[in-house]
Amino acid sequence: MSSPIITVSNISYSYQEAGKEQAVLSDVSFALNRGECVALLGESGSGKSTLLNIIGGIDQASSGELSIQGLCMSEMSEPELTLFRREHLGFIYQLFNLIPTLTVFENIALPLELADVPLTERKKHVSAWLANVGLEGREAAFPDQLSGGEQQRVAVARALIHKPTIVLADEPTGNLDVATGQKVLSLLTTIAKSTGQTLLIVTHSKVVAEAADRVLVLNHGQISEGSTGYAW
Amino acid sequence: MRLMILALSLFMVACDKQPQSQEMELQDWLGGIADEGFERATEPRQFTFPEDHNAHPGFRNEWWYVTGNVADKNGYEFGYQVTFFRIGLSPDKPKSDSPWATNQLWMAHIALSDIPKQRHHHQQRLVRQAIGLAGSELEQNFRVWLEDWQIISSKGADFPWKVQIKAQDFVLDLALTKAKPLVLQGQQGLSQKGKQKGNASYYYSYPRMDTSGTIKVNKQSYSVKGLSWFDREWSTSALDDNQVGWDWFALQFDDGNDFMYYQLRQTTGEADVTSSGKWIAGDGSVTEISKDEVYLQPIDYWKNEKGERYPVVWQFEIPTLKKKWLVKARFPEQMMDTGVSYWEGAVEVLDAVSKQRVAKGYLEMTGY
Amino acid sequence: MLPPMSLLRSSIRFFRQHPWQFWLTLLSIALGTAVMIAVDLANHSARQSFANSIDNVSGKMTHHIVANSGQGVPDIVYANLRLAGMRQTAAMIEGDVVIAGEVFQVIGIDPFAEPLFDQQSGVSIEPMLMLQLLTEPSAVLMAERTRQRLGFSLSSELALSVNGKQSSVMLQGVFTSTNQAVMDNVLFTDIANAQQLLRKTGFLDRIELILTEEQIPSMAQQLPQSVKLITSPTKTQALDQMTKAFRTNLTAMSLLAVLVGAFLVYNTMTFSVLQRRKQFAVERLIGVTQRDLFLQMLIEAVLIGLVGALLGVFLGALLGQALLMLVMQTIDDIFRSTDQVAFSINVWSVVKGLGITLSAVILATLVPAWEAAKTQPVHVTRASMLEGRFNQVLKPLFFIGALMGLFAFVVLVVFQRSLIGGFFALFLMVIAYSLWIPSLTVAALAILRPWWEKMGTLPAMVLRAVHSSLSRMNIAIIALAIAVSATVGVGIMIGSFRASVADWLAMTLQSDLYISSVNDAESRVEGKLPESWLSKAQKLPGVESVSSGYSTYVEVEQVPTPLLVLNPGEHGKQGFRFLEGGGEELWQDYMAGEVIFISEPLAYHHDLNVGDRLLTKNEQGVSVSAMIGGIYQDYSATQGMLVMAPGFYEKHWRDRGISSIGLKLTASADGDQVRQALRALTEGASTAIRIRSNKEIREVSLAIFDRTFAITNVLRLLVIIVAFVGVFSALMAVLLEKTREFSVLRATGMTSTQLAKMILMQTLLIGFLAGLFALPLGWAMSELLIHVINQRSFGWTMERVFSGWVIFEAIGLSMLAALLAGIYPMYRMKKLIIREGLSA
Repeated sequence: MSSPIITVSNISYSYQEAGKEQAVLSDVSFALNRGECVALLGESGSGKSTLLNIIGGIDQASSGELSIQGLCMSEMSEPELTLFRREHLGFIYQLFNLIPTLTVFENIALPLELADVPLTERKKHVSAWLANVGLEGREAAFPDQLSGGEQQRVAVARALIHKPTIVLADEPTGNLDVATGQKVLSLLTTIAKSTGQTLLIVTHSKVVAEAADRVLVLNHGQISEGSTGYAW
Repeated sequence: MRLMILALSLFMVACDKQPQSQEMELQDWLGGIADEGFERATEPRQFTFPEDHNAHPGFRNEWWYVTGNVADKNGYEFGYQVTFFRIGLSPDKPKSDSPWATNQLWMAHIALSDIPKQRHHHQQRLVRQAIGLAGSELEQNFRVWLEDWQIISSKGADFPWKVQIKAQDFVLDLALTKAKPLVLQGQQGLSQKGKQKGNASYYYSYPRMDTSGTIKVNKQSYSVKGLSWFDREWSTSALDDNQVGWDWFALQFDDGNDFMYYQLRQTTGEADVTSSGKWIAGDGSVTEISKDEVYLQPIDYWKNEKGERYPVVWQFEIPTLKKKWLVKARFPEQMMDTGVSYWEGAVEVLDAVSKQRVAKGYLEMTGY
Repeated sequence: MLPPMSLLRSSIRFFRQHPWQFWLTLLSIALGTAVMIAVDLANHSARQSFANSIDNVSGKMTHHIVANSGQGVPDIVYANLRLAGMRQTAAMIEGDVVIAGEVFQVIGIDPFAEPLFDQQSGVSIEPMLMLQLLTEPSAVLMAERTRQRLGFSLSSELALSVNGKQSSVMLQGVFTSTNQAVMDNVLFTDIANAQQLLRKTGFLDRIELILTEEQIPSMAQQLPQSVKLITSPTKTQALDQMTKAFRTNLTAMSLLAVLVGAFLVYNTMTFSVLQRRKQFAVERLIGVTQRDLFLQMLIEAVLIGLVGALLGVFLGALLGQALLMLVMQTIDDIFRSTDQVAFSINVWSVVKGLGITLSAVILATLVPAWEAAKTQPVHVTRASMLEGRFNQVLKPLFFIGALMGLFAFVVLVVFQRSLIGGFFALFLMVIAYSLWIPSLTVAALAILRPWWEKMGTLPAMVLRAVHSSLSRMNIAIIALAIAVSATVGVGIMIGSFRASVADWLAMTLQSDLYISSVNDAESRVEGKLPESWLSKAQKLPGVESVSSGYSTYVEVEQVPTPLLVLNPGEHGKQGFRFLEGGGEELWQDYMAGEVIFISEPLAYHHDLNVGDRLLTKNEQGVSVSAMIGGIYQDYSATQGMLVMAPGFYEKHWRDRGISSIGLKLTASADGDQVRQALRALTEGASTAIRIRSNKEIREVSLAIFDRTFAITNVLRLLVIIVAFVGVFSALMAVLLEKTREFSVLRATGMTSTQLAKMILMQTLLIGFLAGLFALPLGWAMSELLIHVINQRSFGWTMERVFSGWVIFEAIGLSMLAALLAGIYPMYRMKKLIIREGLSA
């Protein structure tokens, strides 16, 4: 295996509630390698989303170090973080979170546009990705004209189109029926594998966990290595 | 007698907002400084008529005072008061080319007591003596006037004298003819009001004048007859420091006698020694009545809105004349709210024993 | 009757959870109410103050007795009236004197004569001073404030000049007045002293009196020939005329502010219904009736409206005081010394303001309340469907708007002369147009789209965001468009008005120099000038021709109307612009006394035409009938005026005289030299004389005009502020709704600056659209203001003057307002916490 692409060392996260310190994450450490598909499991309130937000650069750990491709994220300013996200991160959400006023094409092209990729280039990439996610011919449609599965496929394309260092997926199948979820998941993992994309999926789903290379379990803010055969 | 009324009324003309402080100011002004340069009533004078009916501008104050009780043929009774005051603001006329320039101010107080309805109507008017707006004259006839209110004699100073008043609430058009000769009050017309020399007035009266004419009030017209009392007084005097007010009675008896009495009340509540009166018999003969001959006692009071208590029933005895009366206001509320308020109204006189009415008259009370 | 309490509680909680919405609604209602009430209060206070101050001096007199000629009204005329029992009479003598370089008005009073002082409040004089006025021959009283300002001490001698002659008076004391400002620079003195000082011994300037209709004929009969009875041309009337112009326009603007406010209420309530659709659906599911929901919405609106309106009353009172100062500044130009005026809260103004606001709030809530009531138990969340429904109502709205526009037109045509009709049509038009704005917006966006989207996906998002939230954004656009159109409309109106007045002044002031007496300039009754001056002036070197006029009042249908008895001379005829006809023949008829001329407002108000006969009365009450030969343009008297030849006037009236002389100079004449010669000629006149050039008069008139309308700028700004609040709240609402979307964008790598730029672009787009839509409405409004409102108010016609700048101004102003409204939302979005936005 190659060297870790993400290193999480001794991260803790807590917040104040009613004057009391509430620990969400305590001393979490782990590493992800390039091309790995890792499932992050845990019960509700175990701190999965917080961890994902910290890795995604939209939340700050109380203490600890986080480095992605050797860049230390805790040192970055907000604008630097934004540019970092633009370049290195892709997000997939449970509720798809497509921009309702943008077409399928525009939604998928958004990360490229933000990175000032010229239109002709964008077109090329987007048509390729439309094919990848099986939505050829739907590029002019608006999100509310798509089914849930279709929307999530657009989201997958949007998350991957700019070849981020890591794709963070928060319950990507949580809002889909089982069959559709399965399809989207296999699409995601397949594409990730074929492009060597690193993938961190927060999930409840056994199916998702089984599809992962590795499973991390978050329990009361503590992380432990699990197996794909995690017992439910 | 009406000096204080005069002074306070003047002050009230313009401003009834802060009476206390300004009251003093004006009294000082009128009472103290301004009598310099005016003539004073220091000794008896030779009266000449009709000339003395006319104004005496050398003196500071002067008045023509008519009160009376009249009734229509159904017995509907009225009391009325018509007073014209002349006030010398300064001894000399200010130097000016303007015909408006004057040192003479005139004031009228008029009142009508509607006895059955117990309503007292009254009004005040102030007019400067300029461009013919107010004054007194003795040319074709004798006349005192404030704009369209006047007392005017027949040719010369002959009777009847007409009293013509168009007030806001009522109209008087009365003809007065003397039923008794003129009476000089005090000592041959010199009426002493205080200890100081010159604190006196010249004072004469027509104690009984037959009166007839028309009174209009409440949109009704009454043809009336009755008796009036006419007082004339001029002076440059003021109340002494220890005098607070006075009670003045003018009573006309059914048997033909007339009686005038005034008492000056002191701060102690007692009557001043200068209090005095005159008994004028039906034949015109006059008897001096001194303070010591009189027993005068308030026996019932009426309180107005301001809380001032006015005696509206008096016990009046003159033992030397064997007289014993109750003098009763026809109704209590006969206040003159003309600037300073005083009580002036129609009264009746009851015999103390028989309780029969024996006279009607007028009562004036100040300083309560 | 009432909906369940729990529903009302949920209303309260809703607004507690959406404080922005609550406070902004409150603010917009408060501002709308405040503007309306402030204008009303300011107007009312100004009028009240003047009514008071005038009553203080002269009472509510109906008539004046003035001299036909000579020095004045003899004292005896007054004495005879009083002796005849006419107590409602006041002898008036007044004049100007100069003390320490300031002009004072000396008013001679008889302190004891009713009804001058003892029944009146206002001025109070200590009794001792009243007596001293009589006894001290040169005693004068001035306001304490004036004394302090000038540092005079009591009992000091004041040197003064009366018509250039030196004299002195004694400052005997001071008086207090409830209206200090109006009494500034007034000296009270005894009437005797006034006669002496002003050299009018034995005469009065006038007698003011109250007459009933029945008394007039006999009064006119019994007066001596040297005097005449005229209807009292009170200052109050003059004030009314002079300020009616801008009061009318102010009122129109303040109502627009309410209208804008009402749109904002509609906006909030609609938005709150949208936000609570789910909640309403659940409530319906568990059995809440449609009526309950409808009432819930109405109660919410009324409560918010009430609180906002009360807040508005408070704000309005504050604002009103500021406006009052502006109003008084205007009036100051017309009447002297009125720098301070008592501000009073008029209950009726407040009640009216509250009533209008609450009605507007309730009306604005009816539709959203109905929407709420219609909520089906099964709810649909898709915003696009809501917007889709909005698209469905575009056509009906457009259609209703068209109908209302038609109705407005019908109102205008049917109620030809009604001012209220005019206002009603104006508001109908504004509402009609605002109903078209959604369709216009859709059309404008469709036109913009292809071009706009070439700029990239982010700009495209902005445009589509406006389109997708049309139901909310449109109200902001409408509010802003109305506000901007009001400034455009009023701006065009004032510009046109000013241009017309300037044009008219240039035309009407044909003489180069004017001589008049300064007496009583405020009531337009000028003092008389010696007639000998006419021929003397004619002979002065440099004078080409001379015209003369005599200003007085006559009654036309019981209204005292200014009359100018004009001898136009050689040059004066060019000073008239007739609406039709004219020419030398008409002037011949005029000079022959066969016809008279009337001004356009008079023709309008009394519906008179050329060829009609105008009926008036002479001082004896005898009817005079005159043929109208021409109707001319005039902006000087709002109630209108008439002009007749001296020959005609003197045939029917006993009164004689001239009150102004106009001089046309030769081309080579030196104006200053002629002026000097005139000064020499008028030296020693019994009244103060004013010599002014046409240029001075023109400048003064235009300066007054400009100051008169300065207040409208403030109001325009206020209306914009109300609209600004609307844009602000709409932006806030829409942006808060889009927090998640923005968070996704930010997570995807959009910088906060990029996001802010997007919002900026959105606000500018809104501003641009509003400005664009404001143009036709503003133009239409100016048409209505010029050709309907002003014509119906004053009978004036004016040429519309339209400058291309208006377009830029309107769009610029609109974009600026939107931009300012966007600053805080931009800031908010810059500070967006992505994590929270995503989990929202």
